[in-house]
Order: sequence, then structure tokens, then C-alpha cells
Amino acid sequence: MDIVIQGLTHIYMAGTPYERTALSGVNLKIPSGGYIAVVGATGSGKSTLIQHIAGLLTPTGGQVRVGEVEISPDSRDLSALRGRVGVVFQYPEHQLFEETVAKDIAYGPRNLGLSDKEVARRVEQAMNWVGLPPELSGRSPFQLSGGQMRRVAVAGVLAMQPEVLVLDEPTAGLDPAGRRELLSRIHSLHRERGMTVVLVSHNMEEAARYADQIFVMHQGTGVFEGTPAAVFSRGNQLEEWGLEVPEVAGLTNRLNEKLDPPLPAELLTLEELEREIILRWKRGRPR
Amino acid sequence: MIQNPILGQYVPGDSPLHRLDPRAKLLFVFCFMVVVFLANNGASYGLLAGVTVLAVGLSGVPVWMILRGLKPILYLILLTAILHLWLTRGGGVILEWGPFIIHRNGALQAGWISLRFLILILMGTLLTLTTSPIALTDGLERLLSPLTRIGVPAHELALMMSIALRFIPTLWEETDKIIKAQRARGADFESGGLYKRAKSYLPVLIPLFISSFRRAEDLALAMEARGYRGGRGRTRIRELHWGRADTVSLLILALLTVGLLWLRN
Amino acid sequence: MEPILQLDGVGYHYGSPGDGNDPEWILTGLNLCVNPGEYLAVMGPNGSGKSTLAKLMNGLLTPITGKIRVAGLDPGNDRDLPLIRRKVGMVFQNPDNQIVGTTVKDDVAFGMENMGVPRKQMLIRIREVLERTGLAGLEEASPHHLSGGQKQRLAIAGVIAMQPEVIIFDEATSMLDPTGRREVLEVMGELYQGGTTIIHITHSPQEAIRAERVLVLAEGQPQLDGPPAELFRHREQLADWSLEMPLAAELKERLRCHGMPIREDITGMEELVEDLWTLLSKA
Repeated sequence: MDIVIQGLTHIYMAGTPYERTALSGVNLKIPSGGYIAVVGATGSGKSTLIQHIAGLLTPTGGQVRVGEVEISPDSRDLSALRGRVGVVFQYPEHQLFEETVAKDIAYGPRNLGLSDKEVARRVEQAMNWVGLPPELSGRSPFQLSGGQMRRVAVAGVLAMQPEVLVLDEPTAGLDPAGRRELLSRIHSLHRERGMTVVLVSHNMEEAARYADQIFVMHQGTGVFEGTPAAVFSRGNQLEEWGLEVPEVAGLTNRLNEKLDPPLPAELLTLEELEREIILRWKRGRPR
Repeated sequence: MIQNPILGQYVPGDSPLHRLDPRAKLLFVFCFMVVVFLANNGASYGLLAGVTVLAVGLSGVPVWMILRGLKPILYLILLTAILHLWLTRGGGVILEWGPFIIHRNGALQAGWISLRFLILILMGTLLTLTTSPIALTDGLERLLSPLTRIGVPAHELALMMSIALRFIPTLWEETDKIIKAQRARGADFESGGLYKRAKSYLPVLIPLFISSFRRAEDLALAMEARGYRGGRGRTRIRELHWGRADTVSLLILALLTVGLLWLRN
Repeated sequence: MEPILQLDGVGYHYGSPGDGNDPEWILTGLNLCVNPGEYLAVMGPNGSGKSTLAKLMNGLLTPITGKIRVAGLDPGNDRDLPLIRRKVGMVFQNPDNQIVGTTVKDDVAFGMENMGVPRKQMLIRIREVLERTGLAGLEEASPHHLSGGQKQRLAIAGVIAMQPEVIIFDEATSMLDPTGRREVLEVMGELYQGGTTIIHITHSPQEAIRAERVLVLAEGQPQLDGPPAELFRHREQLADWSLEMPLAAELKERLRCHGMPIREDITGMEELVEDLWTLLSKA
């Protein structure tokens, strides 16, 4: 399912004194099976954008096409997208409500009208995907640790087997190990099942590590789109857009102030930087 | 996004009514609601209507905004009027059409009751339109404070109200978010009978309750950490100023009462 | 120098003693001394007792074993509590759930109102602390309309208006975006410069490295305690407690493993860059 967004505008509480334009004229194309990160400062319109992709908001202007489903200002029924686009909101564990882990994960598949057998199968599979041991299925989700609750919530969305998965700051509040594990599990699902992923993140390192495209938003419009390396080579502009320069990129820039020839500018992860430095050092050392 | 109900009420401004002390406004409206019932003829209702129109004028709030607030009550007024037209007898028949017979007294009653209703609602609306919820809370706390001696927890009530005011927008936003999250998981809040629809809201209400409890716990801890130990020995940043206009407003109320007593039958 | 916070053999567990289960001790026999004006970062895995420690330090919890002295006062004594709450302020994790007032000004006043500060004095202090936290001009704003970083700065303003000697930040940056985090860290740095004792509970090595002293808490006990430069040399140990290293320290370790002769005692970004320049330009 390709996602095509054209001239998307959204105004909250239009026609009242509290009117606020969240998006104005956003254009974006996400190819089926892609992994795109949407980055930008708080209030840049990221959340509003992804809610349109999931069919949770109707545009004020422009349109969003997800597969064959088209959403325009006068669309009334958006239910065609239910189950095909999954959304993991920020702090998704705050939406858990069932008595047991298994029942909570089953909520989505059940709403899709699947048979009991199929629901059970999907619950088991989803728990496996997020790394929840099967013996937790009968436990109350509210007795679990924060990290486990997060996984239950993510499993609840994955169990619907969406073709597009939208994640809004999925790692907020997790410790570094928890962050890495969650995102690498999602990444392998993306690779193995061809699931399209839209990741909203403040964390540029995360965006760079997993996404093949980055879409930068600033004050309700898209200001840049490209590969992670292309985005980070923008240097000072990143700060104008309210983005943090990733630490690795910052360190590389500092080193390049005095290195001739400089290290490649598109180093994004610690591993890449480490490899480049070692390479450079070994090359120069007389054997 | 769901419209915030609290934002919808108060209209910030600097009119004479806005500037009145909330205590004066509360006292005025409270007493007014009692003396309204003194009116029973054209002259007395005329006086009440006059004062109400004056108040509307002094509020500086656009008339359409006030009328918009009245819309939901209009049906209630209409219904009462129709019941009176139909059921109250005496004073001779003025209209007869099949089974519907309208008596003179019925028509009069319907008119007066509707007017009384309208005047009451208008005054109440003006109070909330020109007084911020927090000022209302302050006013109420001060007015109730003499009653603490007989066990009315004035400070606690006011604190509860102001915390509620503080958290209503937060919880509103949270509700919106949970509804969206569950909708994305295929929840259907629109179809089915009443029971089914009520049940479909459980996945929204349960998380909302849980998060409210968590917030309450956090807040209690934060308040304790900031040295909260109840109302005793506290000073206040908010102050109320009783001015000449406030005294005048109560004098007007007294004059109104005398006038009504004089004009009524 | 008399320590501002002193913990002797402090132990704590949740749950009542009579409920039959063996209590799970969060902290056991903890000894800790914090001097006035220190900047201490506390790190540790989830469930290591960091937050419990914070709550013990200003009397929100009372130790089950051992003793705590806060500026010479005893949190176990009800009469000392109001003074302890004044001297030790706390900023919590969730920005939303610690704001009581319906406007910025009301919220800053809340703690002072509890202390019985006269109104005139309050108005002066409100102006001053909003200035210091960069919130001047927002007096009448509704907290709901503030950004995460502004909300946390408001919480800080409310605390410093009470003129505390110690401020504990209990994972106060963990729910913020990068901008909000930077804002809060800046205010923290200024408070420290001004002589306030800062205790910063955090997961983030980049934040911990700003402190003069880092304490790693795990299994109810301090595991490491020292200046950040020293601490971040214990890479394996940190990994045991699922803690990360700051980027510069991590890179240094990795490069050393490849045999690059980088100085061992480097932790900061600047020094590492200097060293790498020398090594790579020789090449």
C-alpha cells in the first residue's frame, strides 16, 4: 500500500477563536514496504500528520491516499483503514484496559471480526514478535513492569497485522536497552513481512539507525526529505528546524575541523565512526 | 479534537460586570434568584426584565453569544409554556380549537413562567460569562469561610474545585487520545443499541480512570513535597477587592427587592 | 563541613510488615553523605531504588531501618517536616502531574502559600523566579498551554520560590523532548552555580556527566561512587547494571580495544577530539 499525501492542510477548531493551523500543504509519498522517519520539534505537526495516515482525522484541505482508500475533506467513513493501518501512540501502555495480557492483545483482532481460533493464533504470534514470554498471557497487564506493559500495547497493535505501522515516539520513557530492543524487533518485522513503517521520533539517532527516508517537519510543513545521510549533512539547518544534531554527527564534525582529508560526513552510528577512524589510523601507520 | 467545555463559557473582558468582585456577583445572583419569585404582575416582571437587560448591557458580552448559551434551555422553556397553555384554566376561554382550549389564565401563566425562566437563566449565564471559574472558586471559598466553624470544609472544597479546573483540559486531551487509540484498534463507538454502545466505551473509561488515579497519586505526593498541610496557616496569592461598585450592586439588589414588593399584587 | 544530607544504614521496603509476605527490600544499609553545594547524579537500573531514595531524602517516606539527617533535621520527626520540605525541594518526572495552580503565577505561589509567606513577599519572589526560569511574561498563562520543558521549569520555579538548599530532580528530564531537556539542564546548571545542592536522578549518561559526582545504585546499594571521569572507566560494570556510557567514553574504549593508543583517562568529548587529531594527523 503506497501512501500519497497531497497538499494536506489541517486546522484545529476551525472557525473559533481557538483556531490553530497544524498542517499546511504537506506533500509526502511513502512507498509500500518503506521505512520512513518523521522528525521535527514539538508542535511541528508530526502527530497531526500521522493521524491522517491512520484515518483518525479528516483533512481540512488536500488529500491522503492509503492504498486504494482516499481521504479528503468530505470523507465520512474512514473505517476502511481500520486494521490495515496500525498506530502505536505515545505511552501506549496508558490504553491497556483488559483483565489479562492475552485479552488486551485480542481486542484489535476481535474487532476485525476474526474467529476465536485465529484471534488466539495472532495473540500468540504478536507476543512472540515483541518478545513477551507466553506464560504472561494470563497475567493482568497492570502487574507488569513499564517496559513489559509497553510491549503488550505494541503487541495489541501488531496482532491486527497491519500493512502500515505508525509509531509515535514509541521509545519515550524506556531505558536505552529497552529502546534498542523494541526498535530492532519492529525493524525485523519490517524486513521480514514487508510492513511499511512510519516512525515519529525526537531522537535523531534512532531515526538515522532504522529509517531509509527521513521527512523533516517544521511549523506545519515538510521542509526536507531524503536519506538520513542527506539530512545530517544539512549541518546548521538542523538546528533552525529545532532538531538535535546526533552526537555521532557532532563528533564527526568536530574531528573534521582539523582532518585533511575529512572523514565522510554521512557517518550516522557509533559503529560506522569507529570503523572509519580505525581504517584511517591503520592506513596511516607504517607496517 | 473535542471542544473544551470550560473554555466555551468564560468570555474575558473588562466590563463593569467583569470588574465586580466575584463575591458581589455570587451574592447578587443568589439573592436575585430568590426575589425573582416575588414578581407576579406586569409591572413587577417589567422591573425584573429591565434590570436583566441593564445587566446584559453592562456585561459587554455580544448578545449573540449570550443567546447561543440559551439555546439548549429554550426547549425546556417552550415545553413549560405549552403545558401551562394547555392545562391551566380560569379567566375565560380565549381560544378554542378541537380538544385544545386555551384559557386566559393559562396564557398569562405561560407568558410569566417563560419570562421568569428566561430571566433566571440569563442572570446565571451572565455570571459564568463574566467571571473566570477560578475567580468563582475564590469567591465561593470566601463566602463559605464563616461556615468553617460549623464544619463546612470551605478551603478543601475550593481546592478541589481549582484542581478540577486545572486538570479538566488535561483529562480532556487524554480522553481524545485514548478514543483515537482504541478506534485505531477497530473500536466502534457509533453502531449498535444503547447497551452495546455504552459497553464499547469501557476500553476508554477504564484507562481514563486508571490514569486519573495515577495523576491523583502523583499530585498528592507533589503537593506534600511542596509543604501542603491543609488550609491552616496558609497565606494567599489571590486577593479579592471589595470596591464601591460592589456595594452599589448590592444596593441595587436591595432597591430591586423593595420595588418588587411594592409593585406586586 | 557539615553534610547537608546524611544517610546511615538506611533500609526501606514497600508493603506493610504484617501482610505475611517476606518484604522485598528496595534499599539495604545505605550510607551516603552529600555536602552543601554538591552536584550529584544518581544512576541505576529500573527498580534500583533511585526514586525511593529521593522520597526518603525529603521525608515523603520514612526509613524502616537506619537514620537520615537533612541539614541537621530528622524527617522522622513530624515537627521537623515542614522545615525539611522547605529546605529540600523536589521536581518529579511527569510535568503534568505536579502542577496544582490554574495559572503559572498561582502554581509558583502554592509552596509559598503553604509556608505562610506574606503576599507582598510572594509577588516579589514570583517575579524573580519566573525571571530565573525564563518564564517571565507567562504569569497568567494556563499550565495546560505550556510545553513540556516550560512545565518542568514552572515546577522548578515553584520549588526555588521556597528558597531550598537542596533540589532533587527525580528523572525530571525523562519525559521531555530534546529542547525541553536542554532548557531544564540549563536551569539546573545555573542553580548549581548559585550554590544550591543538586541531586539529579537520571538514566542518561550525557546528563550524568554534567555532575561533579555520580552514584550508581543497584540492588539496594551504591555500586560506584565518584567523579564521572572515574566512573565511566568501568564499562563492563556499567553494562552489568544496564547503564550506557557517554558517547566519547564509549568510542574511546572501542578504539582502545583495536589497539589505538588513546589516553586512558579521557571522558570528555573535547579531550577525545584533541587526542584523535594528534593520532590521526601523525598518520
